[in-house]
Amino acid sequence: MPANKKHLTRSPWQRLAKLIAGFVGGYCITQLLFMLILKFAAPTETLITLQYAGFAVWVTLFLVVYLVENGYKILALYALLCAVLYSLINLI
Amino acid sequence: MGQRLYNVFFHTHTISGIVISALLYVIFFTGSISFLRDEINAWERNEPIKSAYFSTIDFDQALNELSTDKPLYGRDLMFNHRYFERRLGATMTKSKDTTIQDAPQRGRRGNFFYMDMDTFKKEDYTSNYSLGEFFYRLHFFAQLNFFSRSGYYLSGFVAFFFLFAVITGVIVHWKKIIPSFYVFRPKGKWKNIWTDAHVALGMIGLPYQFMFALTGCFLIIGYMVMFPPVQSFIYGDDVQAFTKDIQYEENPTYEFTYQPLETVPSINDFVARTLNKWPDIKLTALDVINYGDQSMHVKIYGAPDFDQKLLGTGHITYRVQDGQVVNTKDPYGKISYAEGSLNLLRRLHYGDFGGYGMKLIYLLLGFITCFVILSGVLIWLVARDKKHVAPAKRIFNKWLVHIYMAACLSLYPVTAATFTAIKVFGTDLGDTRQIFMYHVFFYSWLGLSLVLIALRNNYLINKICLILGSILALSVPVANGLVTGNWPWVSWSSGFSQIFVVDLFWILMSLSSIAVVFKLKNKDTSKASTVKRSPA
Repeated sequence: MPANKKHLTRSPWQRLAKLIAGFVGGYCITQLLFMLILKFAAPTETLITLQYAGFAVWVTLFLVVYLVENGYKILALYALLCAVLYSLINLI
Repeated sequence: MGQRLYNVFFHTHTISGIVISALLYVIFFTGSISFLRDEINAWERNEPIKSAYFSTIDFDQALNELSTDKPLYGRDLMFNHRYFERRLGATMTKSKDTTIQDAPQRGRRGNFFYMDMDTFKKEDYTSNYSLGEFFYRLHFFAQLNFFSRSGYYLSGFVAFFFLFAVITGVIVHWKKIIPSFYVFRPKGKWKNIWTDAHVALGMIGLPYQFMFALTGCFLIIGYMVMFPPVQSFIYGDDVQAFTKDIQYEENPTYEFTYQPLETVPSINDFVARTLNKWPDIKLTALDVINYGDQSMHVKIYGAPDFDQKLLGTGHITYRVQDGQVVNTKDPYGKISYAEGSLNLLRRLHYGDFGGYGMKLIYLLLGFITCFVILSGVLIWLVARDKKHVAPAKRIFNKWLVHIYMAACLSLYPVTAATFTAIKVFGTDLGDTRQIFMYHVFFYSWLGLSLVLIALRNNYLINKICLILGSILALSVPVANGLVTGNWPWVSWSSGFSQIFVVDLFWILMSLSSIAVVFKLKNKDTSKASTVKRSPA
């Protein structure tokens, strides 16, 4: 019953890329997303939502990583998303 | 979902699950015990209290006692009944009258103490340390805070990966989730037994487990993990502005006047007035601000009981000089999103919204989750116990599972032993209470685990833990009866419901585990290295 290995990512670098994308990238996107919301929405409500719902957003972004076959691609995509969110925050 | 994704998510579920399994078991086991935190403390100290305890407290006498220590003029004194015990948490600030200087205080918690509201005896954190506090803090690994808050982070990330494992578990089982729920093949292979149990119980507990994963993350690392980046990027590390924004209520301050009141009126009257205004409210805290000054205020907090209203708290502030109400928040009023969500997350996590019936359901679901965790580990073992797996790997897996089983299952007898030990030897420990508890609990846990690991037989590990556990569990009410005379029937007839609940809990634990022992059959001894354990 262990998962069939032929469907799993073998390369340790690929796996590391996915882990970083999910854990670090997911966290950064969550943070930046809420920072962007903070620019428009009431601060108290936004921050309190971040305090619990942030984990739900983060874990979702973590899971999405594993939908993609190529770890580098998703890492690059998350980095790009971070850059976009970051510049939006600074522009507004 | 295609083959690839199914296998990928299956694998992430397995890995996230196996990595956190033993830690998560400890969290759920000790966390379940902590549902009875306040009852355990009442039991341990033989200090049961009745439901409206706060309104019976003589605060005037308490302040009188405190004033023999230090002059109270110009200080703020906060009494907090967060835990339903005879001993209230209390804080005494420095005097705002700068001519009053205190002798230097020792320790970080210098101005925090506990006060027994029957005897007005003061205790500091260590001498007040209790079993309830021990298990409560163990469930978020406070004892592992070796490097700043490392224990909190560890438990927080275990909760986060638990959230991950819960969701991937649902994804993996999604297609067959309804039919699998009804499947149980107790006569089948071990792999099937563990899988059926894991899936069915995981499904029953799913909303509960999801809720605990999320509220657990929120409570222990919500602040530490989610806020620092926002505070530094958006608020430019302006802690004050940030703190103001995360609070949903403004806290007015009252200017100190340096003009003492001629006489300080009774504080108890303000408590009585508050209860007059809101007769059904449960009071939770009382603040005395600027004691003895013309700017002295008394602020009283409370919340409706859960059977009246699920969420919301209220408070009222009196200006002592003329008895005027200067600030109110109606506990029955409209609740903001911010307050409501924070209240709800806490309520859901603590299970304090339905009395003992709800706590019992929470407790059972907590133990069921322990079972789901262990059955998951056993699936992992059995699925890899195949001829084509390298022998070295198989040996490693076996040892790992022995260690997991021994460490997890021995928690039950060790917990019961700690309860008994503290009852028998714990009366005059003073400042060494905490150390005593640590020694009894951690050394016996280590010792028993090592002995059980040496057996290298999961069936025996389980059986020994159940037998030992049921004997020690029964010794808890016996020890209590012998030491205090409060046998279950005595505490029942005297209305000491807190003490009775703890004794009853251990009696039920003992009976259900002995019942399981008699049901145990070492099916297929030659091959089976694993055995079923009841969740109770």
